[in-house]
Amino acid sequence: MNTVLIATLILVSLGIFFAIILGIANKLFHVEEDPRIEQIEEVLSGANCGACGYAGCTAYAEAVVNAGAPIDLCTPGGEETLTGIQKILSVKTGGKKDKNIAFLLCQGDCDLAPKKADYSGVDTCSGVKLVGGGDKSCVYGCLGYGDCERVCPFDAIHIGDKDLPIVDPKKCTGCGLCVKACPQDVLILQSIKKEVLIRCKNQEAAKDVIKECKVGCISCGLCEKNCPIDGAITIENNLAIMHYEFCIDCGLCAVVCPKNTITDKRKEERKMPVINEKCVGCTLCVRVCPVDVIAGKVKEQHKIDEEKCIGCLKCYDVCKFHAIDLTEMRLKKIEYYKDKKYNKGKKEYVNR
Amino acid sequence: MEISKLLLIMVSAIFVNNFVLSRFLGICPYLGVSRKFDSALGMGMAVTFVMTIASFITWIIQIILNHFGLSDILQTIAFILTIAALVQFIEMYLKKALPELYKALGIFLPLITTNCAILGVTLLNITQHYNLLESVVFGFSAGIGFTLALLMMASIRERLELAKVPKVFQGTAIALIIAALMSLSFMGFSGLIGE
Repeated sequence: MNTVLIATLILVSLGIFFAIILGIANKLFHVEEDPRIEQIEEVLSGANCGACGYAGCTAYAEAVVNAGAPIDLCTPGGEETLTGIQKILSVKTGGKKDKNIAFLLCQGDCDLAPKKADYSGVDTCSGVKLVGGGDKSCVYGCLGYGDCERVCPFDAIHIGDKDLPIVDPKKCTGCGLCVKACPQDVLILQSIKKEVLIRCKNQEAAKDVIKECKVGCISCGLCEKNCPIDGAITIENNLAIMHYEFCIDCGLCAVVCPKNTITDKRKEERKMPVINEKCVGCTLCVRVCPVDVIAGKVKEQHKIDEEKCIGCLKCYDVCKFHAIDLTEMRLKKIEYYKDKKYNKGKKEYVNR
Repeated sequence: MEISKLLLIMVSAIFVNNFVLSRFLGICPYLGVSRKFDSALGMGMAVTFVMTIASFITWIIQIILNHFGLSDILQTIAFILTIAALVQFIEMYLKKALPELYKALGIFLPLITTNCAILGVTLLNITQHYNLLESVVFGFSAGIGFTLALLMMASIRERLELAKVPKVFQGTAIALIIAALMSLSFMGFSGLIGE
């Protein structure tokens, strides 16, 4: 009984002794820290991905509080983080636009783009690239050795069955680490709502491209000619280049492209819109139409000019009254825009 | 005589009875923190630091326990308590006095709180009947041995990143195989010095 008592007493006194020491130490070694730093660190994503340009989340939180760094730099955290920091610092900024995700600008998988050599060396894209520009016939395309997969902290990009990386739009946060890691520069960041993309980087002449890849851009210029927006697609160095700030995602280029280099997420969906009697005349579609082919006044049923409509479905997406039906197939070519390209004063187009 | 015994303790703790590779203590950080050389170095430094100081403090605690004749039943729990409090104290002190070192050690310092290698050192000090100086030297050398094993593992794993590993062996599997091979090679030291 005595032993038990002494043992308990010793342990208790040890505990109290350490508690006092730590308590004194806490007061003695107290470091003044802005409490907001810790709070902000909590609302940050905690991924330490470096997308903000600082060395980890703690460094960024310190920079926000002490150095007045911009508060919208945490890409993985998105809207939630932004509002969180706003609350902590009690400042207000405009809302954030749709999140960006990574897109691959190459479709040359193992079936469509043949390899010119067998490679057995260091198992990375940058390693392959050092040896004669890679083992693919096309020296511009994705090499498929997964540098992007290894660098992704969110498990959002994986090399698929056909040796091309596949991005998971749900997991991708648009931190841009894969874009930086890619030695071929075939990954880009675009809004998650981006629908139409020119997926080729090959700058060689058409006869060489045809040998190297079945879906490579042969710079025929059909996309440029048919694009309703002036300057949204240009041909430079044997390659069609999309200028994302002007592109309205109408998908006409994807229809005319003979090599299927241009992809459109909603290619099958796009049909000619017709306004029905449910229209209440709110003029929302008139305002949203990128080529101004919808005529109508307030509280009158609007009408779409069938000959000039490009079938981009912007009006269909925006209509709240189910007043737009998709009926016939869209036109393959739109003569109207051939000589009269449209551009609303070269305004940047914002994806909605 | 004294110095030669201390040297013997050092060689024994670093090579012959290496904590990780011969005694199999502290395996968790050995596998967990050995992916990068830098973090392995940080962890090794932190462990060495805490081991040395813990050896010193627990030796004194042991005397107190001996005085009451309770060292058999209270040793483990008292040492755990001491180590935990010590790590907490060191963390506070470093944050104030040496913020650079605090940043370098980072997350590893609190991780050490429940590291079995530390408790192992303090308990071995008692079973080997070391005096105060010997205990501190033993704690320090054990930390150096731990750091050595960690750095070797990290160097190998960094090179492994570039190697073509068969799919079945990728990840933890190949790390465990490497650990086994390293342990095997360290067994070669056994017999260099009698216990």
